[in-house]
Amino acid sequence: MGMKAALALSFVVALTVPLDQLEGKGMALRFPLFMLSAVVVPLAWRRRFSPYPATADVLVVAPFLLDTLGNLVGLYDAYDATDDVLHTVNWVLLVGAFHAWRFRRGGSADVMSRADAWLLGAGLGALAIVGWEIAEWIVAETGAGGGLALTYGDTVGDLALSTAGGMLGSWLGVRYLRSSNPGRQSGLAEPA
Amino acid sequence: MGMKAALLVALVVALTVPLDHLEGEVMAVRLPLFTLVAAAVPLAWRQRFSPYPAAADTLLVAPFLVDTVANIAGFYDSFGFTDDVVHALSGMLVVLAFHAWRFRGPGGGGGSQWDSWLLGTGVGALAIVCWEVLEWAAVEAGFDFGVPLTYGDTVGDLATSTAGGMLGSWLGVRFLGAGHPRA
Repeated sequence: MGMKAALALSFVVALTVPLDQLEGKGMALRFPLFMLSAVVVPLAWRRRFSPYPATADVLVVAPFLLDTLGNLVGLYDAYDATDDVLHTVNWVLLVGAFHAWRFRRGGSADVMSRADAWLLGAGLGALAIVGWEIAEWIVAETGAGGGLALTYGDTVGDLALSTAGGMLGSWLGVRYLRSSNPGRQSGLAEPA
Repeated sequence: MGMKAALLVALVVALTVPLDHLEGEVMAVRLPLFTLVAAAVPLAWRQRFSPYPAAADTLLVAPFLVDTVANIAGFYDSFGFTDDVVHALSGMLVVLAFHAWRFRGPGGGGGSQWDSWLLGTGVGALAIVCWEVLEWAAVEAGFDFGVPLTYGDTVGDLATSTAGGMLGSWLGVRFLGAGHPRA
């Protein structure tokens, strides 16, 4: 809950306090999308298995909180490398969330070989960044983003870094979240 | 073998016959890459399981033959939508090749049908991301593709290839997966 409260609070600040570094960042457009990350795991879970996939819930919200905080404190404007670093880190977290969900749910998750599980996570990361970049392009084309400055080079950089982050996140997920017993995670403790 | 022979003939024609519409298509760069693709399945297989994954071999070579033939025939110049069609078709064939390999392999392709579909779709997304990054790197290195590679083209390639991969993955799981004759 702490992560979700921090995300909500960040958006309250971003949407109410006039900050120079937030101009043209489309924060109002991000708000519904980013807050969706806070409800996606509870909605998908609906008590279908037990215990609650708390690790997946935290990992899915974390990238959106990092991005919002990065914008709030002006990291994107102050350091050119911020976008590259966050694309990589966020995809490690997102693919980690996918594995945390999948291995907690159990079922067929442990039937798949480790190599296939790694490829599944890495592929999901690639699929996510492809979807993200297409959505960004649509936002830029329609002008809904309030002046997003997107270029060919940036897009290719985002694709490469996010996919690399997804590969790393998938390796970490299979290494530390995979369990020999469906429905039980090992290696990483569940947050309270 | 027929598919590989056709690819070889097409590449020989592209490299030896002076055709206007092949200028700037960097066919010489395509040759080693496409040859590597033709050798990928035999090299990965190395008699580790039986029978030979012939369907995977054929499906993996097919997109590169389609691209080469489309270049020789001048489709890219004649029809603006050729690139989109070839990207969608290639994405589908590459993912089908992956499933044909996976279901034929020693593991037999474990996991649910949903996981298998997502796995194939993800492989398609990985493939197009790598392709677009390599294309960008080639342009940055000074290779001239004859046509300017743009942001819009790249996003279009990502969308059509991924859509093709989704369809290919569905077809692969449906027709090459468990309960069907092994590919």
